[in-house]
Amino acid sequence: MEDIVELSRKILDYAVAAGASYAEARFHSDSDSGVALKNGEVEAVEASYEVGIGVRVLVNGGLGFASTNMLKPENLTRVVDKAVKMARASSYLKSSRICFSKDEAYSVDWRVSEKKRLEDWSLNDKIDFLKNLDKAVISQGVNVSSRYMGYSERRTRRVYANTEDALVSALVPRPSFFALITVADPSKGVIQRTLQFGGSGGMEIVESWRLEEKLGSEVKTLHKMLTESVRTPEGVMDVVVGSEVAGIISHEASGHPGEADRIFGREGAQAGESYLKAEDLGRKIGSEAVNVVDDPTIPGSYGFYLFDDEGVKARRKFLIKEGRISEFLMNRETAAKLGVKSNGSARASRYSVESIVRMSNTFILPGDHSLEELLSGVAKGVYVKSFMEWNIDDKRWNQRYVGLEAYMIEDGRITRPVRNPVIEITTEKLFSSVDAVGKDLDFVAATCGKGDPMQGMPVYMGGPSFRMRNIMVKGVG
Amino acid sequence: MAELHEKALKMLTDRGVEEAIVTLYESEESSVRYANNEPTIALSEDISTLRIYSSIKERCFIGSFENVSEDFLEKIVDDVVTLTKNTPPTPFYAPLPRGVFNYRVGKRVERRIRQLDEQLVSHVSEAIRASREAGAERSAGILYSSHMVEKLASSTGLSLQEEFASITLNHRAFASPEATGQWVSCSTSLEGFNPYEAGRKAGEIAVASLNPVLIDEGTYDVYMGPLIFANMMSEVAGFASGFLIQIEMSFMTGKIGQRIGSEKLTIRDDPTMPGGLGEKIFDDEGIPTQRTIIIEKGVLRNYLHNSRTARLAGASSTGNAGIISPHPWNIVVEPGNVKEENMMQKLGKGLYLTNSWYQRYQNYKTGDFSTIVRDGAFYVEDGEVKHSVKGIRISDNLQRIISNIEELSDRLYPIKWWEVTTPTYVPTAIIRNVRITKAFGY
Repeated sequence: MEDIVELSRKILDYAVAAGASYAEARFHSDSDSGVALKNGEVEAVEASYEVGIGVRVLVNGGLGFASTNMLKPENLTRVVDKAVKMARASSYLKSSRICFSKDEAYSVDWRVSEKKRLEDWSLNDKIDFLKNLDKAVISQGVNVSSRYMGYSERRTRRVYANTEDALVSALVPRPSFFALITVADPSKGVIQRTLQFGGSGGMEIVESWRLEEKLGSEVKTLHKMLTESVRTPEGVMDVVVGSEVAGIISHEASGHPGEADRIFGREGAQAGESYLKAEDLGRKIGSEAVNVVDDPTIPGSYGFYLFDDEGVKARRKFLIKEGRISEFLMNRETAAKLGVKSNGSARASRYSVESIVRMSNTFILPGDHSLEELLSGVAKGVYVKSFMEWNIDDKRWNQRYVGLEAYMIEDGRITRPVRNPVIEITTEKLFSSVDAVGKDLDFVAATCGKGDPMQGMPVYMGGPSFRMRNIMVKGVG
Repeated sequence: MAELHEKALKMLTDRGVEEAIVTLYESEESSVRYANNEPTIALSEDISTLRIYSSIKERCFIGSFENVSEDFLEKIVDDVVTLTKNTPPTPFYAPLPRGVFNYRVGKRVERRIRQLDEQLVSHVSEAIRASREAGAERSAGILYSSHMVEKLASSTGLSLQEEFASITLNHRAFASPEATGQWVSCSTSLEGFNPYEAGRKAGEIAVASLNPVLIDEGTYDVYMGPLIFANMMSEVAGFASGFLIQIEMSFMTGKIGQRIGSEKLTIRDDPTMPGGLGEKIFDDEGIPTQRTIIIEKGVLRNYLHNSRTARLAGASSTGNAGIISPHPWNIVVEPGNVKEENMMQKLGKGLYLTNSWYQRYQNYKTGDFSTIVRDGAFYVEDGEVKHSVKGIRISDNLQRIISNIEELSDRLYPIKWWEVTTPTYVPTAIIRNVRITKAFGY
C-alpha cells in the first residue's frame, strides 16, 4: 500500500513536469473466481486476476488517458507520457477547455467488511451450494428442460490519487449469482427466466438471498405461467407493477436520463443522450407520488461505494422529487459545466478505462400502501410482478417492459395468470400515471452497461410495488 | 529464450497438469472519443494478458492473469495446479484435439495502424467536417486503432502466433435532437478506412430525418440498411453457438436440417476471409479456423462448435473455441443479386430503417424479441421516401424475421461497432411483414 502511494506521487509529479495541469492515477485490481453448473454438473472453475494503472491528465484543456498492466517503473513513465500526448492531441480541436469542479480532497481508506469471510468458503462448499440449488430447481415436479447457474466472487482493490491531494483506497468484495432456467411443457412450449443476485460483503450476503427458496418458487411460478396463463386482454386499464419492474423503470427512465454526461451529449454515438436538458432541473415529469433516488451508501448493496473514482465522497441523490427532476448524476467535469460540485457519481469498471458518470443503487422511494391496498383500488387491471424483455430508446423516453409473472386484477383481487402483458409507454406518461406507491421496497442486482469501450457496472435497481392509472396494456403476438 | 507463455506451459506440465493451453495476448489500442464536434478524451492502453486452460483427469480450470512477471509466474502456476486438482471431474470435458493441422499462411497485417495515436484526431476531424458539409449540426463518436499479438502454446505440441490490426470508426451525426444518422468505417487497412465517407453518410441520414412524424402500429414491409441488418444477422449467427444450443438459449436448438429462414438467406462464419475484420487463423484451442455455413438457402446446416460442445453433440469442432462457449469470428451474409439502388423500388411501400439498438428477448428459445429503431427511419411509398418517422420499435420473432427476407442487395458492408461486436458483413435487405409497435403517450 505504501509503495503504491509513493509510486502514485511519483507518477503525478512526473505528469505535472510533463505539462499536465491536473493528473490522477488509479491502481485497480480485480480478483475473480467462479464456478458454473450446466444441468447440475460442473461446467468449469474459473479465476482471473486483472491489475493495472490508469492515468488521466488535463493538458491545454484536453483530456488524455493511458493505461497499462505492465507495472515496471519504465512502463509507468511511458504511460504518463502517453496520457499527456493523447491529452495534447485531444486539445487541438477543442473550442473550450475542460475543467473540473472544486471538490474537497479526501485522504481516506474505506473497506467493506465480511461478517463471514468468503475465503473461508472452499471450492467444494461452493459446488455443493450450487448442487443444492440445482436440486431445489428440479425437485418441484416441473419439467425444467435446461438450467445453467453460476456463483462468482470479485475482490476489487483501488488506490486513487490526484494532484489536488486526494488519496482514496478501497477494498470491496462482491459475491454474485446468476441462473438461466427453461421450463417446458409438451403442449405449451417453453418459458425462460434469467436471474441475477449480487451484493457487497461476505457469505452473509449470499445467505440473505435465500436462493434455495426463491429458485424453487420461481420454477413453480414459471410452470404456472406457462400452463395456465391466458392471453392478456388489451386496452387502457390500471396496472400495478411489482418491485422488480419498479426497479428497471427507475434505472432506465430516471437514472440513465439523469446522467449529466448523456445530457451534455458525451455518450451520443453509443448509449445516446437524454430527454433532459441541463436547464431541466425542476421540470415536472410525473405525479407527486414519484420519488427516485440513487444511493451508493446502502450497506451490502451491489452498487455500494463511499468514495467515487474521482475521490469524491458518495451520497444519496434525489433524481426525481415529488414528480420533479431534482438532481443529475455528475462527475467533476459535468458538475463544473453546471457550476456546482460533483455528487460523486464517477466510476470506472477496471483500470484500463476512464471513469464516467454511473448509477449505483437506483430506486423508487417507498410510499405507505400495502400491496392489498394498491390492488383494492383497481376494478380491472393487470398486476405485473416480473419481466424478461425490455428496452428503451436512447433518449430514455420510449420504453417497453414485457411481463413474465403477471395476473389480471378484477374487483381489487388478483385472479387469472395472463401471458406476457406489454407496457410500451413514454416516460412522462408512465410517471404521470402513478397514483399510489407501496411500502414493500426491494432490490435486484444487475450489471449496467455504458461507455465505449463498454463498462459493466454492478448496480441495484429497486422500488416498491406501485400503481398506474389508465395506461395502455397490449399482448404479445 | 522461452517466452512467458512457453515457460508457464512447461511449469504446468512439469507439475502434473495433463493438458494445458497457455495463450499470451499483447494488445495496444488508441482511441479518440468525441461529442459536439470536438474530442472529449483521447485514450491509450498497453495490456498483456496470460490465459491458461488446464486439465488433470477430466478436472478443468480456466484462468486469466495480468502483470505476470517471472516471480509471479511461480505463484500463478501453483494456484492453477491446486485449483485444477481440487475441481471435480466434469462430464463436459473433451480431450484437447491432436493431429497434424494445416494453418493458413500469408495473413497480411497493416502495422502502420499500431502507430497512429494522435493522428486519430485528424481522422475524427475529417468525419466531423463531412457531417457538417452534409448539413448536420454536430457529431459524436469514437475512433479506435487496435493492434494485438496472440501467442499460443499447448501440451499437444502447438506453438502458434497470430497478429491483428484494425481501425474502426463509429460516427453519429445530429441535424436536430430528433434527427440523427449513424455510419461506420471499419477496416484492417488504412486504404480501406474512410472517415470522410462515414461522416458524410451519417450527416445525410441525419438531415433526411428532420421533422419526423409518428406512424400507426402495425405490420410493415421493411427495407433494412447495413447497420440494422448487421445487428439482426450478428444475433442470428451468435445463436448458432453450440453452447447456447445446448442450454436451450437459442431459437435454433434442435433445428439442424430444418428450414428456418428464407431461401434467399445464406449465412456463414468465415474467419478465412483475407483482410476480414474477424480474420482468424486458429481458435482458442489452437485448431485451424474454417469457413462454416450456418444457414444455407434458409436451411440450418451447422452449429458452431469447440471440442466440448462437439463431443456432446457427436460432431466435430468447427474451430470456433471459446473453451466453454464457441462463437463466430467473422459473419458473412451471402449477397443477393438486386442492385442496391433498386432496393427501394423493390420495397414499394413500407419503411426504410437504417439502424437499431437494444435488442432484448422475451424467450431465447422461441426468438421473441423487440429492438429500438434509431437514427434514420423513413416511410416509403412507390419506392420513394415520403417522410421520416420516430418512436418505433420492431417487436417480432427472429425466426419470422429471417423467414420473411425477400431480397438481398448485391453489395456487402463491413460492420463492427458498439452494438455489433462480432465483425459482420451484410448486404441490405427487404423483409416483409415486420411487426412495428410504438409507445403509449406520444
